[in-house]
Amino acid sequence: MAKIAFVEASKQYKGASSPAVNAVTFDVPEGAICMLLGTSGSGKTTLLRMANRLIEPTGGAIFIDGTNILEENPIQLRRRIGYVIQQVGLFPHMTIAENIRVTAEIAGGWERNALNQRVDELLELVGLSPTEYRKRYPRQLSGGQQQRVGLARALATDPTIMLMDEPFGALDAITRARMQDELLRIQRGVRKTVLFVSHDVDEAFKLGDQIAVLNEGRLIQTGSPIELLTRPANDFVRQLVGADNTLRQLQYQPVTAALDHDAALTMEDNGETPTCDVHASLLDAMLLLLQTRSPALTIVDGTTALGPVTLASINREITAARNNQTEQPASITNA
Amino acid sequence: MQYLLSPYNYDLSDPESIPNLFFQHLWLVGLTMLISLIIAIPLGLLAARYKGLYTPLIAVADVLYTIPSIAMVAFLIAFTGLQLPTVLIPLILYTQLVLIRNIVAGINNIDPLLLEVGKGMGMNSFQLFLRVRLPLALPTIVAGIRIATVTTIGIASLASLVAQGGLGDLIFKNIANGQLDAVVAGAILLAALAVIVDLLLLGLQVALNRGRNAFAVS
Amino acid sequence: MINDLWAFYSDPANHFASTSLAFLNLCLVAIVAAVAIGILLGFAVSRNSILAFVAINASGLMRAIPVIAFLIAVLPYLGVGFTPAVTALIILGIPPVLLNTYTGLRDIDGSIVDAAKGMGMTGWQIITRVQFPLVLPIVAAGVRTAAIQIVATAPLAAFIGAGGYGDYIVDGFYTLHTVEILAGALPVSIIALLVEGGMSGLERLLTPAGLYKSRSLETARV
Repeated sequence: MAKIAFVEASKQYKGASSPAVNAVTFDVPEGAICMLLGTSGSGKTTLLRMANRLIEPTGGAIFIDGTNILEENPIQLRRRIGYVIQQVGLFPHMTIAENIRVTAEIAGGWERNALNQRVDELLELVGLSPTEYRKRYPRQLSGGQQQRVGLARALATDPTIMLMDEPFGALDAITRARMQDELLRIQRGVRKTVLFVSHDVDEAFKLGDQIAVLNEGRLIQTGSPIELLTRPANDFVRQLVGADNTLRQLQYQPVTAALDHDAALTMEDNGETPTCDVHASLLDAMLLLLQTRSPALTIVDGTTALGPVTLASINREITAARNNQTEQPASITNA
Repeated sequence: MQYLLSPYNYDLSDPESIPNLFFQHLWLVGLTMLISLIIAIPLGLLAARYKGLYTPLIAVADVLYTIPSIAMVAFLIAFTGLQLPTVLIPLILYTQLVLIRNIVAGINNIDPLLLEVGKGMGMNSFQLFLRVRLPLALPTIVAGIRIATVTTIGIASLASLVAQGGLGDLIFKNIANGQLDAVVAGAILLAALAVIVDLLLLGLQVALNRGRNAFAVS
Repeated sequence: MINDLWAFYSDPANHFASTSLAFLNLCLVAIVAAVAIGILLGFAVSRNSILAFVAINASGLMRAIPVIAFLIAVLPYLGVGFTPAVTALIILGIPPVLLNTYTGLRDIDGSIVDAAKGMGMTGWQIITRVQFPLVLPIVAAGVRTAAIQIVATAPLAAFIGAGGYGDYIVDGFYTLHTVEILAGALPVSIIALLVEGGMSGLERLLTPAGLYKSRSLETARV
């Protein structure tokens, strides 16, 4: 069962000529990071804020764990969903510890000592030393540190769902990249279902298990990063994700896509062929080929050798993927 | 200085002694501020909530604030005579403008983002008020209380003119017969009281402003 | 009551015309002098951070001291009569004008002054052509506060022999003559309201639409 399901979800503002969100339908599986990707005005933030009913949908339904949230008390709903925004919005009159604690306090049911312990755990989790930061005030922290606290605050009640609205949008490039890595690291441990708004394609590709592309309130396409790259639903998606960008293709295609099955039968492993992990990208493989000046790589999954990859097989895969694009678009929704 | 230093003037059994006049003054100021807040807080909360109410309310308070206090006391003598209300009513009316204005400003000038965040984490409107609105508005509200209190300390000296005592007695009862030493003593005590209360409330204001720029609200 | 007031004003023994003139004279002289000195001092201290620090804190302290105490404080040094009263009122009116002039100047975007320097303006030209027009609406708000404060305090100055409507009020209080007290309170209130209305109109006139919103309510007064 999908963790979050949007069914014909719509938002029509009074006086607006077209809906801000127009009959959007898609599912987010449990434990996945789903990126809502689009330009400004595409309706991605509106869609996100409908999931905790900060914006009330005017049509359709939204299900969480199979329950229609429109039939739920919005305050109870928000208490079990983590919410992180670009401007962070830490309360300036509360210390860092108080800021993290407040979500748990308003939800109730936390014992005082357990709560203090939880605050320290969360600070550790987001990479801030509890003894150093617990008693500080938000304005004494840098933008990146504030967003770490924002993340800790959203995680305080251990919600199963996190809504993140361009959380790293205001940070400089280096801090942003570091925070993205941190988020992935944290996500490996906590396995939340994340709905993440972004206008940055690289961020979407880096973080997303699934990407939902929105434009002018409509859902154009959903799919994994690689599906978007290899089978964009239309020219808009192709341009947005840069499907013609060979480098990005290399970066996000798994190395297994270029496995040369024919060569695997004929080639003999003389023990000198360099090896490449099965989880690497085509780009990793190509760089390794160029560095080692070897004609082929052996792809290995643990100790099992799966077969060779060569520059020729990589080239073939890229060319094939590009020719594929126009012929068989994948999972078009509402296009 | 002679008057201030003479132990004779500190005889507690004499109702006109310095300590007695001082406490009389404090009592008048305290009573004024208590009633003023009882009136201003609900009015301020209403005006913060209903924008249409704010403009007329402030306009009335502004006109009342503009009428010189001595003139207002003078008008009231015709109705309430030499009684406590004659000085209490103007004192209360004077505080309303700054109190209401600061209550409304304190509540309405909160960054909407913070309210949004509070809502987003599931605060109900009561929690939002108690945990976000009130603590953020309090420094501005206390700044208003501070200005109102200091102003009241000064104007409360007019109580003497309607036979209600206070430090004004030292000034107005002695100025006519030229006892300058007592007059100056009254002025010094009045100024000292105002400055001390001002600093105390400033300290409270700064303490309430924790986490933010300590002197951001003045 | 109206008849009693009318009788009071028309009784030649009460010198209504000359009393009115004395009151207006007292207010006008004090306001004009306070505004002129306040603006000059504001410009002067804006060029020196130590002077600015002293002036700001002295003005801040003066706000806390009750006006009546202040009027009394000058008594032993200046005696009684018009001159000490007008001096006290002038000193009273300076802080709001000075503070607003100073903060107005301080808050002018530095790049604007830089640009003026860059196009070759002299110091005087920068003041008259750039700083003064920009700071005018903020100064006007300070002038309004000062003027109202002076008008409101002028009747109290009768206690130190300044004359004007305050004489009616003071005399009325000591003799408990209600009509006489009202005869003083009425014109004082009307003048205060007129000044408030006129000055707020002037302030609005001088403020470029939607540019500034500054009115300090921080001035304690009697």
